[in-house]
Amino acid sequence: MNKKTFIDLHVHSINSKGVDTPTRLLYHADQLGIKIGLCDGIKYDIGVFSGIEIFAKDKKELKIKLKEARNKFDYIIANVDGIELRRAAVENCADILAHGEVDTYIARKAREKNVALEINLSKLINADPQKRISILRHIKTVLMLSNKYKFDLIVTSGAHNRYDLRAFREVYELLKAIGFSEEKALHAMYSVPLKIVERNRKYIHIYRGVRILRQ
Amino acid sequence: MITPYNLVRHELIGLRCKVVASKNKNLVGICGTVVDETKNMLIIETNGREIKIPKNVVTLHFYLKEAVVEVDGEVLVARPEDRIKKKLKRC
Repeated sequence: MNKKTFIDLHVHSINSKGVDTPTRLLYHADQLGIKIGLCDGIKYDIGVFSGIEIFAKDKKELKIKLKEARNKFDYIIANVDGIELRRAAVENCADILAHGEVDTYIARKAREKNVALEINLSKLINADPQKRISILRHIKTVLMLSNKYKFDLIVTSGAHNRYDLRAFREVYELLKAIGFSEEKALHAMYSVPLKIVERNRKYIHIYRGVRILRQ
Repeated sequence: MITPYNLVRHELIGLRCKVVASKNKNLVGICGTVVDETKNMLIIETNGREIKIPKNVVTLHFYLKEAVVEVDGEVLVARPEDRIKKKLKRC
């Protein structure tokens, strides 16, 4: 990838919660000039990144699902509710923590464990006008915490169909309007997703701090 | 037999390794054989001289027969005799 573009890692196809087939989504992504990752829990070989979105009701289930998914996919999104579960997701080294509550403990641990926190634009775009204000406030809080504690932010569209996919310029200008700097916006749209995928493709993770280089 | 799974608990002296990342940029690229080890330091012989590397600021590649293993130095911080009973957390 020579040119910086938008890498959208939270897209669902018909194989999970979406409506369109993976090839259709890929075609539309190519038309928009973006790269996508499908978090359906399936390994694809059609030129998209393959990820999995994990849901869990308690810590034990979360740990089991993270352990099963580790080393099989290009990235893992932990989509859990409740501050305790979200802390557990960060402690257990999920690649991406889905859009939701963030506190200073999560912020510090995310920096330490190299976990990226997601900003899901579909939550903002599809929200009621009244709720949109609180979501914007939340995004600004997350941005402020990211600037203070230096953890990675990742921006996704949360697309369930091809019409939810967003082009680079749309997302970039929206982030700048919210308060992201140019560098931070590019980092969240391109550098961080690429880093996550390359890290998982390059290594097989055994223990924390110990990895095998894939041949 | 040494494998990527028991490397952290294994004897490191005699293994070939390379520093691939460090907080001290002068240490990056140092490549050689481990000749001694203390709680916080690895002594690597390279080009006929011995260099002391602090464990907690480096990331190392260890070259085994079947694989190259990347290890964060912080995981190795312990006396060699204590490392064999160290508990490692799964990812």
